[in-house]
Amino acid sequence: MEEITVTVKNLSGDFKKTTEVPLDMLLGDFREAAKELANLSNVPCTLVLEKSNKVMRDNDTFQSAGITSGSVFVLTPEAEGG
Amino acid sequence: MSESRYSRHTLIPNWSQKKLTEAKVAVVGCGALGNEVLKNLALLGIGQIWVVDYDTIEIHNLTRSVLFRESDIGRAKTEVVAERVRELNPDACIHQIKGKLELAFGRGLLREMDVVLGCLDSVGARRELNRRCYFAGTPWIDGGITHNLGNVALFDPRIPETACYRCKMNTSAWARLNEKYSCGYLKDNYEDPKFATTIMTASVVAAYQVEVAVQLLLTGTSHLKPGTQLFLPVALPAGFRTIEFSLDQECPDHSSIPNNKSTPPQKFSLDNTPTHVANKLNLGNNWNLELPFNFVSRLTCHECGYVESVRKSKGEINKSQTRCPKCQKNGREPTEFFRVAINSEEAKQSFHDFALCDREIIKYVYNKKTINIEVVNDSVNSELGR
Repeated sequence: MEEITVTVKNLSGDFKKTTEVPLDMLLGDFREAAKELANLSNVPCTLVLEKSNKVMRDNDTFQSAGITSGSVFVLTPEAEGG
Repeated sequence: MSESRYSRHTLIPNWSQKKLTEAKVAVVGCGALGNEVLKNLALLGIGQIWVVDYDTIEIHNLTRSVLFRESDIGRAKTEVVAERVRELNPDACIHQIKGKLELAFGRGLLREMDVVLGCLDSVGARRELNRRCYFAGTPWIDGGITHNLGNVALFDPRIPETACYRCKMNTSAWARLNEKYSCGYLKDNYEDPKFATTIMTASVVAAYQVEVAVQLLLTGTSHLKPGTQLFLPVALPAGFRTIEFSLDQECPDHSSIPNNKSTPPQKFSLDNTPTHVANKLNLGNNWNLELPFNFVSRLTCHECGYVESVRKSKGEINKSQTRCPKCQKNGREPTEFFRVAINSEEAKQSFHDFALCDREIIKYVYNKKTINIEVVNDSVNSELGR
């Protein structure tokens, strides 16, 4: 399967990683892997495409979501307290 | 209403104090966010406010709850916020609903709200509020906080092409929602996760929630678009950011949006039975009544034969209750349903016996058609179809 290069970072920018990913990878799996790398495993997060500010859906793949090489994602924490 | 009290508001372009005075707003959850939201609504002069919460005040609430005092510990949150809102603004008419949203705040009442502010602290409660608001056709504004950030999202069933809270739930959110259940029952001794929060994040997030609410009340729209979420990194000078969720084409909450909110369902007393109302409505001999939740009427022990009447929503039953109190064997079988059939014994029970609250809406299905009715408590409503 073809691969593309994408970057994922956290909100403050102190975590940033550029990596190769297969086009058929689920974005939900990518988010969980990125959270682990960013030390955010226990924090609810959404995966946001930086250029559009759209939240990615778990069951989409990079291909079905139309993600192109060079795209940047932001792990955005979800606040659930009240 | 005191005219001079709001004289500074009248200097604001396009402001209408009358619209705020006539508004009906519900606040679900009276914790840190709920306190801040209610304080703002009271000061603004919102006319009618409903507050919903089942909890009582504990000492740890006092660091983030402007309306609570040490002397209030042990009292119902709804009772105390109602008192303090009246102190802040005697013009405000505040209604308390002590109980869980899904068991105490009927969807008939919810459909009358102009806007609902969600000040909740779990995925499950937000999911339930979304489900009920979409059924009622009422917009709601979700707030969420941690110790250093927060978010505000608008979900509006009047704009059905935009995402709702159900649409935005990812696999991780579903996992957190399902953590509290085991085979559909509440886990024993389960406690929702506790979040670190501060008054700083609560104040900022509540301010934005109320700002969006006021915009909706004054103009019918807000700068925060439905299906989007404002992300507020309170402790970090990173600026605000708005993110957009995608609509789930198969979202069941979207499917429940009413076609016509202007025609209220016919009201019937909770004292009636499903059969009585079906006859009143001339539904013929082929109908089912759909309840808003899975209902358990009894638990049967197949070991010793003991049958216990329960009559509760399944989500209110603890896993340990499936153990037989007579022979101590686990796994009593529930008699569980969400449809009441015309020929069943259940059709002759009163609506009270299905744990339905005042002003709840329920649906009859008959001859491939449906009709909603609203069940009401006799003591609070005199316009009954009985």
